[in-house]
Amino acid sequence: MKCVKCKGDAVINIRRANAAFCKEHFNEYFTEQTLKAIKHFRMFRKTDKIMVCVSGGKDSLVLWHVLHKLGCDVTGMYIDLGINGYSDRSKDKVNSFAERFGLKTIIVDLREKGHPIPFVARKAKREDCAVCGTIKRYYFNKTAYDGGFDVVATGHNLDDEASRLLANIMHWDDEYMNNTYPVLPAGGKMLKKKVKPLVRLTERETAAFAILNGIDYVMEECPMSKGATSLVFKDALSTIEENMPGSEIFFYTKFLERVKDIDRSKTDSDEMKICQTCGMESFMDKCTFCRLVEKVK
Amino acid sequence: MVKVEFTDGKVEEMSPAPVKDILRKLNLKESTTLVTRDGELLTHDIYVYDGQSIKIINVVSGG
Ligand code: SF4
Ligand SMILES: [Zn+2]
Ligand SMILES: [Zn+2]
Repeated sequence: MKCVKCKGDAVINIRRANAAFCKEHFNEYFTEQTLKAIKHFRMFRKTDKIMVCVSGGKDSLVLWHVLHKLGCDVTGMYIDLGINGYSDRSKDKVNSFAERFGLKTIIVDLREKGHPIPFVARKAKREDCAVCGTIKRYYFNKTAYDGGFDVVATGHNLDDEASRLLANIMHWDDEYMNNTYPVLPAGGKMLKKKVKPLVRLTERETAAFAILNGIDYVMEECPMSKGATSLVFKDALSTIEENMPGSEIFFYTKFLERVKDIDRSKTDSDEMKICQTCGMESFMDKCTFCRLVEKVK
Repeated sequence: MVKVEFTDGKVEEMSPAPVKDILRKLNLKESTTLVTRDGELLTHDIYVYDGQSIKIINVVSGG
């Protein structure tokens, strides 16, 4: 197969774009698609201070890399979930990546804070992933606020977003559907804007970018993700995409066009209170996070 | 034979063939995998010869 740009040997073919690229032109395509999303959805300006949530997986490391190469002021924020083995290995990947490219990082260690995920889940008698969601969201918001960041970026890709949309449509979950958008505005006085610059790229493309550019990511999955229902929707979508290339991005972008005018600034700052325990904004006198970790003290 | 290694460490032996056919025999989709030989990405038309080894990377993550 030949590169559609230079006729050199291709390293990857992208069926939905009817294209194949050599390494150089794939990198160019990848960066263009990222920039296209950033501009189209007005994600941030050149001068904004960006916090990227990194897990050590391919998508977040690739996003960090691309934003850094674009000359953005970007800091990687990693949460050590306290999951034995997996957390240690993923943290190593984040640290060695940051060191290699001389990047700024913030590490929040849940073991140090006294609430590693498996421990909190056991004590609170709740699912690991539910607990993880609450704790991660809290620290993303808090770290972004404390650090004076303008925007929080995550590595969600086209497959993540389209499969989540499919799941939400299957459940007719209007609230989630309304929040399926690559940009969520800042809310209240403390919540920062959230953006997903990789929504025009598939997991296969982010993995290829990582491999081609020597980005060493953690290939193993979080052990708690076994049997995640999101995989069922991803599998269904990839079967459709395999037979009808281009269906997935069509499905996703047409949805975005339909919902583009919805007002997503849900937290009217007047109705927000301040958590009496931690000082972060909350709908109640004590925030969800503080109520959760209190149970395990 | 061609040595096929998977992300989880499993190894299989297969007959020489283009990447596309190898994936099809393994029941894997093009859109969820990447294939490398000596660390280099291969497009699906590339023929893998007897004695060579390839790695199949599953790109789907559960998060
Ligand atoms: S799979 Fe792991 S990282 Fe993801 S939400 Fe569950 S516990 Fe957290
Ligand atoms: Zn080229
Ligand atoms: Zn609180």
